[in-house]
Amino acid sequence: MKWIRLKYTKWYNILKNGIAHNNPIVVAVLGICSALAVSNKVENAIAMGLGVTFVVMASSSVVSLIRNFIPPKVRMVTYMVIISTFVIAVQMFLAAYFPAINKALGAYVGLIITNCIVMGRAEAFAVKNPVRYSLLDGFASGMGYTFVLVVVSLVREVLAFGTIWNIQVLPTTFPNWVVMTLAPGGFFVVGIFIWIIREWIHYYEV
Amino acid sequence: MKKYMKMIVFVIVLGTITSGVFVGMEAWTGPLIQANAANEIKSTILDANGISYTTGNINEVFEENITIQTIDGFEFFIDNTSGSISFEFEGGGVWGPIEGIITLQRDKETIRSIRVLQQEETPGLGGVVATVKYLNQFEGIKMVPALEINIPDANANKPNEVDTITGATRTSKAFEEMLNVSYSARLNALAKIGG
Amino acid sequence: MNLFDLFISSILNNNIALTFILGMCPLIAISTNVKNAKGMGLAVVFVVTITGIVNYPIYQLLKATNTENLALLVFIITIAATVQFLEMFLDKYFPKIYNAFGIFLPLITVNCVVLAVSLFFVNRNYTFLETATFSFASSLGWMMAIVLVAGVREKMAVISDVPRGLAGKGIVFIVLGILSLAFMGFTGLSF
Repeated sequence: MKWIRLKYTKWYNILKNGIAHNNPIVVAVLGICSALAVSNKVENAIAMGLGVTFVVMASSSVVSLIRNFIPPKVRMVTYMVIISTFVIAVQMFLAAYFPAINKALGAYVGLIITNCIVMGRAEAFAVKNPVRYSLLDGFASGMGYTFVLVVVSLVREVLAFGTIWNIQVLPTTFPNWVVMTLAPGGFFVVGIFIWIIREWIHYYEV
Repeated sequence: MKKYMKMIVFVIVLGTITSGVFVGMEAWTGPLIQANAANEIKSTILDANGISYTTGNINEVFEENITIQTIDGFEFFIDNTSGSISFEFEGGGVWGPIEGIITLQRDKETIRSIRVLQQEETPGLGGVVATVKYLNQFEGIKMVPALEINIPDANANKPNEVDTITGATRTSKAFEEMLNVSYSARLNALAKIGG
Repeated sequence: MNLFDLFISSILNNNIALTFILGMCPLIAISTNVKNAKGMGLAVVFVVTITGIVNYPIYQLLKATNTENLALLVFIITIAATVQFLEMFLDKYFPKIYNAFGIFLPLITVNCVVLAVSLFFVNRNYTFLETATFSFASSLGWMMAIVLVAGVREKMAVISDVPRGLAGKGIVFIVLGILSLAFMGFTGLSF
């Protein structure tokens, strides 16, 4: 009984929306630049996905916390400042105490700041909802984004390098599709992925 | 008017808080970050020369084995036993700066090792430039007449040629250029080292 | 580097939208018809050129005072301020242009092309003239990309039978994929 009731709570719906029916990439088509750039290998996809999830959660809760004070005219600037302050501060902390992690994440930092999912969730959700729901919404969107990145990167890595997580899965005689590592490959795979998911959840644009 | 006042006050408060956060973080983490960077340079140079050390005695080992010489404003790290010369290089990659350390053999033109310490290239593509596997290719390659990073070609195998990174032509070109520029800038200073 | 070479290469072989894949969200969202695409493109050209020129002296100032690590934050604020100022200025003195730009102006703050151009000139050590040329040419390249995509979409809406799951934004990815493949051909055009 408890399980059935769970289906109707706000918590459950927010989570479901983020991952499927409101998936930031498939339905809202946000965060494309970074999705195309890092989905060439599974390990990159996971690192970027987790980074974005963390930043969306954190920045959404901060925005939600001060939502009643933000003047509407300067709200975009406010989001940008909050997001970049947050990311740079975290980066400084990592550089001081965990230099190895910082080095591995270095390339993702700029991509996370300019990721429009972070901005999109602040504008569409966090600014109108209390902190606890914003936190969950950030988590759900981040997971939706990670999910797409991982699936796309699986396809691209296998075709481009013949590997998954750097382990050879295809025979080495398989000719590597170099185009898969480049922008066009990303566009095609993401486009086809969007098609499949939209058929599945019956979401059609007229 | 009241609306504008509220906006201005908000912007000022936000600005003060964020600058406060930055100044605080800088004061707190700054010295540690510098120490980490200095340690990284030392360990890279020691690794390049095959000298073993532990995190505890790195400073002593470094002072014992490496001589720092500053010539014409360039800093060189010279290994006392083998005479290998290391120096830092940097340049713009595709997305951000690339920094690293190159170690030359005694003849001042053959590469002994290259390591990239910092880069922001596309993960999985240009990011390969920092991997040990890629950089090991540079071992024994000549910097004269100029280093060339070319698309793999079975016919030509010149002593100054290395393969490009697949799918990262721009990063490869940028890397080639920054190495050549840093090297030629130091040519005169290099000639003055040793005898 | 020669300014003319820089100009051409920023538009063709280093097109900021099709080879660097930047500014995709607005490109996909606003390329439904050529008229809107032109509006957005012009607004971007305007803002990117101005912020590039404004950010250059600011960065030199930061460099002189040894606070370069604040550059990112300062750039973001300059961009937002420029957009805000432009909006108010146009609204007051050129209401016609303001109405034509409409919603596109505030949207530019979130266009990553603007920020990327400012970060690129720092990274590549451009001089002032090079920065100005690069900012103008890159944004022109972006405008070209969005107008090209809009042109294809406009025709496609009339004559093609796109599968319904792919209709709308989905098919734009395929179009962009083909376009960026085509633009890879310009790589050989190196100066």
